[in-house]
Amino acid sequence: MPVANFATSRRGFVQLAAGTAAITAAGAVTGAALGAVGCTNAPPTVATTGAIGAGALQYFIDGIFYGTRSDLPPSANLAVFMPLTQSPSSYVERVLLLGPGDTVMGLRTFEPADKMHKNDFCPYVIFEGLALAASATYKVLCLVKSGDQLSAYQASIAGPALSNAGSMSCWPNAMRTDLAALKPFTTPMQHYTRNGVAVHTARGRFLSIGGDGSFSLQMDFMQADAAAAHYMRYFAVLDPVGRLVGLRKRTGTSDNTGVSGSAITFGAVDAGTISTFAIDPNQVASILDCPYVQLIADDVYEVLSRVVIRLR
Amino acid sequence: MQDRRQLLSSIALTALAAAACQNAQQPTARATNAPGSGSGKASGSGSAGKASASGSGVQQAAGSASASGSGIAAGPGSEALAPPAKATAPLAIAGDGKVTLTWDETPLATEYRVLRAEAAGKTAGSTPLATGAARGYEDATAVDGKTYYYAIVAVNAAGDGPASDEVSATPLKVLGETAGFSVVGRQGRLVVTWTAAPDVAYLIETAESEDFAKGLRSFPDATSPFTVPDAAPGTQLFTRLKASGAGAVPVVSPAAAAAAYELPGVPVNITGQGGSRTATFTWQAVADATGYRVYTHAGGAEATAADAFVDVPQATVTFPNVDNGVVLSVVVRAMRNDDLGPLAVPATVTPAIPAACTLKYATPMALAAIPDAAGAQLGIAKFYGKPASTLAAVQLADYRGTGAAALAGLFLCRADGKILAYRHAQPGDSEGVVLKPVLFDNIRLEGVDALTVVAVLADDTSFKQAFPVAYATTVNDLPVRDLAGPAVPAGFTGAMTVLRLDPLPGSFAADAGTTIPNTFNSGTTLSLLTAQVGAGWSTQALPSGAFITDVMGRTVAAVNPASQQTYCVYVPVSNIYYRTMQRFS
Repeated sequence: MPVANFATSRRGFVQLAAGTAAITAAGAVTGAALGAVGCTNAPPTVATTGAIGAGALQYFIDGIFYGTRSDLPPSANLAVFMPLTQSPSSYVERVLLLGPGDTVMGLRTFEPADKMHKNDFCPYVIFEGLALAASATYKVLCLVKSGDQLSAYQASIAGPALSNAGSMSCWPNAMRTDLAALKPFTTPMQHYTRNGVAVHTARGRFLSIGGDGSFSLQMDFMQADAAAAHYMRYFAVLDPVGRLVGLRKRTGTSDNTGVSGSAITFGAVDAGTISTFAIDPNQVASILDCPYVQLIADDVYEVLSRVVIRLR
Repeated sequence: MQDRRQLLSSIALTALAAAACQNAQQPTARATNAPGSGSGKASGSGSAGKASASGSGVQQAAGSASASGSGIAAGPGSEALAPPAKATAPLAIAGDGKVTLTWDETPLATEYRVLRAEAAGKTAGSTPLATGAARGYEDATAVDGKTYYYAIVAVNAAGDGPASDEVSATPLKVLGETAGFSVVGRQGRLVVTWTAAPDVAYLIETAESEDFAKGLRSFPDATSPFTVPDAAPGTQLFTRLKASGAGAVPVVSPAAAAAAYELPGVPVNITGQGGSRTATFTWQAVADATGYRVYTHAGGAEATAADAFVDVPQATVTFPNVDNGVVLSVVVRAMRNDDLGPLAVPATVTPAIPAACTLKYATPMALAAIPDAAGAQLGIAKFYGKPASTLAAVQLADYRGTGAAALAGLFLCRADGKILAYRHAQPGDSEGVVLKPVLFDNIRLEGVDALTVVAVLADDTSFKQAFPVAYATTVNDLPVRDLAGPAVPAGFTGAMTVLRLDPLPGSFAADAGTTIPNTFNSGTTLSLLTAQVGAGWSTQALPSGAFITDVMGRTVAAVNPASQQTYCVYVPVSNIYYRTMQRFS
C-alpha cells in the first residue's frame, strides 16, 4: 500500500510530500486494512476512502522527556498541526501516532465540523504523556477522507527531543536569531540555578479574550532592567506547536511602550507586527484555536522562560 | 482438673501461711530466752523473723534456726544439750512429678532429715533424702501416680530426735485442659474438635439431655477431629469430652450442644450470559447454603463432578479470560460448610464478541465491580469538560493488570459509538493501581450529551485479537461545569493567573554559564505553589481559600508534575475565584 511520506525540512518542519495515493476500499476500512498501511494494532472501522493534496505538519514536543538528565520516566507531550482544511468534501478523518513497530500510540478522529476558527484547519492533535524514546522514530499517519476515498499521509519524527528556541522555525528569523542562544526553554520543571527561577519564570495573565481572537495579556517582568544587555525583551504567546499568537519585543531598556510599572501588556499578532518582524502569516495562530498557549519571555542575557496555560 | 489444682494450691497456701505465722512468733519467743543465754550473738537471731516470714523461703529459714540454736548453745554455764523432740505437723503436698513437704519447727533442732519410703512404716532406717536446717523440702524425684511415705527427724549435736509421724502423698499428672473443645453440626453427624495433649486418652459422650441421662453414647479413644455418626438432622445433641491418663486427674469439659442438618438443596434456574471472553452464570440461591461449587468443562461435553471446580460464596460466578466461540459447560451444587449437595442440571454459555460492538455497558460511573482476567478491576471513568469546551480527561481508578491482562488502551466515544479519540497504554501510564488521567484535547462537545469511555484489555496489548475484553461506561448529561470537584462559589470566573512552582528543586547539574541545565530528578520535591493575585505581581503563598485540583477536579495537596503535568489552581480574590489551569512541564 503506497503511503506518502513527509520529509523533514531544514527548518525543523516536517513537510508533507506532494505525492499521495488512494487507499482503495469498497466499504469500510477495517483494522486489518489499516494494518496494511503499517498499523499493527490499528483500532477497527474507518469508513472512508479518498485522497487529498499536500500539506505541512508541524509539531512541538514538551513535557518530561529529559533522557539521561533525569531519572524520571518519559512522559512527553506531542502537539501536531497540519494545515489541512476541513470541509464536507474532504477532511482529515483520522490522525494516528505510530510508535516503533508501527504500534498505534494514539488516535484522534474528526468530522468536517471539527475545524479551527482560522482557515478551517484541522484542529491541533495533542498526545500527552507519551513514553517516547530519543532513539526511536515515530510516525504521524493522517487519513483524509474525500468523498468515498481515503488517503493516507505519513510523517516521520526521528529522534524526538524537547523543542527549543533553536527548533522554532516557525518564528521570524530575527526572533530565532535573538533567542536561539538561549535555548532551551526554562519551565517550572526546567530550572535555572544560578539566579533562581524567581526571576526567570514567565508570568502573565490574560486580561481579556475576545470572540474574534483578540486578547490582552499582561506579562510581568521577571526582573528589573539590569543592563543594556540584560533586560526583559521578548514577550510572546505561542500556540501548541510554537506558532505565534501574540508578540511584543522591547528594542532596549528605553522601549517602554505598553509598560506599566513592572508589567507589559500586548495582544494578538497584527498586520503591523507581521510586517515589522517579517512573519510568515501562515505561522500566526489564533488564540481561539488553542486549547492551551505557551507564554515565553527572555532576559536577553541568559534565560528564555516558558509556561503553559490551558485556556479550556 | 481445675478444682484439683485449686485444692492443691489452697492447701499449699494454707500450710505456708501457717508456717509464716508460726515463724513470725518465733523471734518473740526466743527473745524471751535470749537474756538467759547471755550471748550477744542472740541479737543476730533477729534476722530469723525476717527469713521465716518469707514463707516459701525454706532455705532462708535455716539462718534463723541456726542463729537461735547457737545463741542458746554457746552460752557459758548452760545445761547439757539433749536431742530434739519429735518433729511435728509434717505435711506432704502432691504436685505434678513432685511432693512438697513442710513441718513445724522443733525446739533445739539444728537440722532435719527427710526420710522417704514407698510403703507405709518403712521410713525408719531408710536413707535420708536430704538433711538440712530448712523446715521444708521438695521431693522432685517423685514419680506421678506413685504413693510415697515421708517422715521427718529433727537432729542436733546431741543426736537425732524421734521420727515424726509418717505422711504420704501421691503425685499426679496434671492433664492439659480440654482446650479448643467445640462441636459443630454437619450433615447427619457432629464433628468434635479439641486440642489434644500427649499421653492423654479422650472419651466423647453424647446424649439427648444436658445431664447425659438420655440417649447416652460413648466413644472412647477418640482423636480430634472426631465425627459422631448417625446424628439425626435437626435434633440437638449434647456432647462432652473426657480426658484421662495414667497417674492423671481426669478432666471433663462442659457440655456443648449442636445439631446435625440435612444436605443443601439443588440449585435451580441456572442461566448463563456470555460476553467477549467472559461467561457469567447465575442461579437461585439455595436455603442454608454457605457457598456453591461450580464445575466447569470447556469444549462441548457437559461438566461433571470430576471436572475442575471453583467455590463461590454467592449464587453467581463469572469466568473471565475464556475463549470466545468455545462452549463452556458448568454444573453447580450447593455447599453447606464442607457438605456438598446434589448436582444441578448443567448449563452452557458460549462466549463471543458481540456482533455490533465489543463493548458491554456497565452502570454509568461504576465500573469498579467488573473484574478483568487477572482479577483486576477497572475503576471509575470521569470527565472534565462542558459543552462547547474541548477538553476531556479520563481516568481509570483502581486499574490493575499486567501482561496479557493489561490495559490495551482507552477509547473516548460518543454515545452513538463514534470513536473520538484513542490512547494506547504506555509504560508509566499507571501510578500504583491508578491510571494517570488521560487528556483528550479539542474534543468538540457541541450537541454531545453523552460520552462513552471504553477500556480495552488485550491478550498481547495489541488489537490483533480485536478487543478480547472491553468495558465501557457512559456518562449522560455531561456536566455543564468546569470542574467535577469541589463546589465552585458563585462568581467564579475563568480569569487566568500564571503560577510558578516554589521552592525550587535542590539538585541540578551545575550551571554552565549560558547553558540552562534542566535536570530534574524524581527525588526532587515540588510542593508549594505561589500565585499572582491582585494588582501587583508579588510572589506569595496560596492565600486562604485557595485550592488546587488535578484535571479530574480532585483536590490535591501539592503539585507534582512528575505524576500529573496539569493542575488547576483556584484563588479567591474579592469573592471571585480566579482559576489557572497550567501544565507544569
